[in-house]
Formats: sequence, structure tokens, C-alpha cells
Amino acid sequence: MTWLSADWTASSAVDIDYLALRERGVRALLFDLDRTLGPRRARHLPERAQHLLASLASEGFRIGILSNRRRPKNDPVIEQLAERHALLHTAGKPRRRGYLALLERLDATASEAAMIGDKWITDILGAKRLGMFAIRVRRPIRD
Amino acid sequence: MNDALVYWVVTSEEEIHYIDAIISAYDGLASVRRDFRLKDGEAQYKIYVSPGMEDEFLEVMERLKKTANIERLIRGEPDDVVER
Repeated sequence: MTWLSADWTASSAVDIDYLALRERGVRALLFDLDRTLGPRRARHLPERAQHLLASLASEGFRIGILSNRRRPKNDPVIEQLAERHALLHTAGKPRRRGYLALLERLDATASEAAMIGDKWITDILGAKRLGMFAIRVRRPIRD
Repeated sequence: MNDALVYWVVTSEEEIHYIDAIISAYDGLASVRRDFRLKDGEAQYKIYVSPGMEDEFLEVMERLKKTANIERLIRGEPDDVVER
């Protein structure tokens, strides 16, 4: 089923050819959080992930974080990311609503965006239903 | 067995993470060091290029120059030392 097929697979989010994405017309990058930008339920974001997001933003990509993580009080990762990037937690992936809300905040269409995440049934399925480019990562970024 | 080639890229700290991600996407192409040397007031980051992969590496760097702020690419020597 094509909705469960990622367009690309990468070892991790720091092993993606973002230049090739740009050349394909991708302007907005939507990242999953747990097991993509860092380990599951991590209390801090790995430094490499912070650097990568800052670097991609400085290259002109619009960065969004789309996570099914519920926002507990004082979640330092959610707070840290929300300070710098568009972030939607409790996103309800693979439902379309969260993707569309974040795309609107990023002023991008689905065809201009790529979703990067680890789970077929949430990240990849949700993205493909909207016609987004989907990249599955095998492991989270670690320090 | 051939040694890896050494290149130095003159760029900013922010850019090197972007460059690193793209280089890492090509398995076995090259390895970007995150530490750097300061030479003539420039930050130069070391990249080890796998033997036999120089043409492909230079092609990727040419593509990168269109979007990333890469001031210069310098071919170095295998024993070039990273100074901090």
C-alpha cells in the first residue's frame, strides 16, 4: 500500500540529503519528536538535533515539530522547541488535522513539505494521505 | 590501501551541521569533523573523503555551494592537524 511507503529511508534525521529535498521544491520540514529528534520521552533534546534544526532554519527551511506527545506540565523539550519553532503536540497523527494546522502556521502546502519520522502508522501514513514527501528514519538522533 | 583525502571547508558553525547531514546521507562518501582550525581568521572544518570518492564529493559540494554559505574548499594533506 503506497500510503505506508516512505519516499526515502535514512539512518537518522542527521543523515538526510536536505539539499536534494530543496531541489525537489521542499520548503517546509515537519519533524516527529520522539525517536526522531531524540530518544522517546527524552527530557532534553540532543545537542546534534538542536544544531541541525538551527542550521536548517538558517538555510531557509521552515521548521515544524509535529508530535503525538501529550504536553505534561513543564516538559522542557516541548518548551525549548516551541521557543524556536512552530510546534504542535497532541497532534493526533495520522489524522490530517494536525498536519494541516502546522502547514498553515508554516505558510506551506503539503506538496512543499516533507515529513520526517520513525513510525509508519502515524508519521508516514499521515503524510502520504496528504500527498507529502515522507522520510522514515531508523533511529533517533543521539548526543 | 589508499588513505582518505583531506579537504578543508571554510564556512560557519551553523552551516557545518547542514553540510554534515547532507554528506552523511551518502554512505561512505566522506566524514565531516565538527572541530575546526582557525587560519587567517577563518574557521576551517576538516572533511575526510573516502578513497575513490573525490569526484562524487566535489559534485555534492558544488551543489551545496548554490544554497549553503561555503566560502572555500581547500584540498589538504592527510597529516593536517586540527587546532582548536
